[in-house]
Amino acid sequence: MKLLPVLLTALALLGSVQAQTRDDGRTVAVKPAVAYNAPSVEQWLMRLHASAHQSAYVGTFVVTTSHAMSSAKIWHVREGEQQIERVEALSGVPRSTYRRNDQVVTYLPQSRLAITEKRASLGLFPSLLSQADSSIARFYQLQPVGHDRVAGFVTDVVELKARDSLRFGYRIWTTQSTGLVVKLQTLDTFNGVLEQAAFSELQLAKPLSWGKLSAMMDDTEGYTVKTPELMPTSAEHEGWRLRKTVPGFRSMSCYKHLQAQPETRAGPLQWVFSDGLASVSLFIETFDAARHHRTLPQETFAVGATRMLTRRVGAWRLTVVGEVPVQTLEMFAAGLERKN
Amino acid sequence: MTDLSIQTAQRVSALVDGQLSGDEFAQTLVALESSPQARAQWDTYHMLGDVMRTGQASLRPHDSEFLLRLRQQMAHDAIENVAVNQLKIGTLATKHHVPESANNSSWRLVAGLASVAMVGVLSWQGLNSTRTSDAAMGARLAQQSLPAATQTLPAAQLAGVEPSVAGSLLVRHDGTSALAMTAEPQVMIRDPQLDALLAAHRQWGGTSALQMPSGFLRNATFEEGGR
Repeated sequence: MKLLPVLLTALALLGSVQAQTRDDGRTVAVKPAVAYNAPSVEQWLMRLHASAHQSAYVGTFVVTTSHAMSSAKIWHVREGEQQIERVEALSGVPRSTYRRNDQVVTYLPQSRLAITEKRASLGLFPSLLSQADSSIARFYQLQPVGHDRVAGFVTDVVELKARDSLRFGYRIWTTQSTGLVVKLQTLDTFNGVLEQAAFSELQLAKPLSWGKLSAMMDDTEGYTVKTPELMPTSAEHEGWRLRKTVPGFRSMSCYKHLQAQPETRAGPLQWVFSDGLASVSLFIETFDAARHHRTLPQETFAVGATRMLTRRVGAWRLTVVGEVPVQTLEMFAAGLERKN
Repeated sequence: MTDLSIQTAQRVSALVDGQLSGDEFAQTLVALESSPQARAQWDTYHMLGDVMRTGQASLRPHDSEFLLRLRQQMAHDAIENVAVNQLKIGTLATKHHVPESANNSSWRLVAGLASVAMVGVLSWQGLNSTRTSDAAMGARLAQQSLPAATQTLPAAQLAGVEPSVAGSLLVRHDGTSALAMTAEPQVMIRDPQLDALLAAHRQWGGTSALQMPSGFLRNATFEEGGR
């Protein structure tokens, strides 16, 4: 194998492949980047956002991890600046999720339950870019990778490479015709794919009228309608602070989840951080030996690209959840402290 | 591997490539019929071909045992090929314990974890007073870490840095940072409380510029459903 570095170097000189020596001393071949002026991360994300508003489509969406695969039929219609979407799950428990702008209704036909909610996070973009103070470009590097065909569409492929090991990277396929994201992979620090979300089939056409989709979304007849209760608050008001911040992550919101039973209204506190692309939630609950039966000092879990860490902090149970490496969760956990 | 099995493997490989004819073709078919090892090689070569052509392996449901053997063999081979020193063996061995990449492994369908997110949140919030389906409540999966002693190599070992800076955060002048990689969690467990928190994170914590449209579709398809 000693010839490999020499061979790669020779090929690099010929311009067909790049040889790169990694930190561990191994020499690897690197696919050459496409030679054109790449847009900035912010410009690219703005285009992404605009395309999401402009397209009407129907398709089949598939989410895969190393341990699971789920699929759903998607209908997406826009009318002016308004958007409506229907996601009909094809796997798992039957359910239909409708979204009209930031309003979301999920129908669970087996339990005849309809959950209505307003997801503020859906309306954050593009103000998220200004809130993040351009930190996205500081922590992620946009790199064009090339072109590919996905679901019958010619796509541009880019990678948003994490500049440090505190966040995952992303590989994203967008159609050349509309800029719609048709495939997205979350990459670990070894560039392995943790999770993939992609259209397996897609038609850029108006599948249903706005009025019909909207009527379906609002038709709760025969369903018990429930709305999760959240109370906006601040970590400071709740007596918590982050002694040491995690590079790139900023506090975005803080909620208190309310329980239905009046005597136990105090649910977990959810403190949300984001670096613009990845988000992390800190859940703080009063420790309850009857409910919090996990006995190890600290445990970590993973579901797809999402990592979880849970540990006891004095009289509280802390659970940190995010699409970030475990060490990032550990930094959040280590930095959290109770204000005296 | 004996000379005979090497020859058989070469013939199976040639057969997969459509290069055999006459007596060799017939002999190889006999070998495939009589030798489980030859059949396993046949499957292996087909799978490798699929992976090379598509980047993904299309697997039949009954291939689970074969797939397990293949993974073990690939892990073993990978370690042999790069075994330059103990540090690298350790690093790669750990890498092989990280959850498999979604784009090149068989995606096992895990029924039901699906339901949990939404149902879990409702249960946690006391909203779901009515009994949900058994299927909905039955499968709650998350992946748990191995015991720390077995899953995590020292950060310094993984990053190839001095022990004195192991695990420490190195913040650069531009604000970015470097931290040694730790092993990722992997073993599956069931815990409705964690499922509820996971669901809440994805419902109200999804603050990302990638949230629209991909993030929302991903969450509606995946987290509240077929995990």
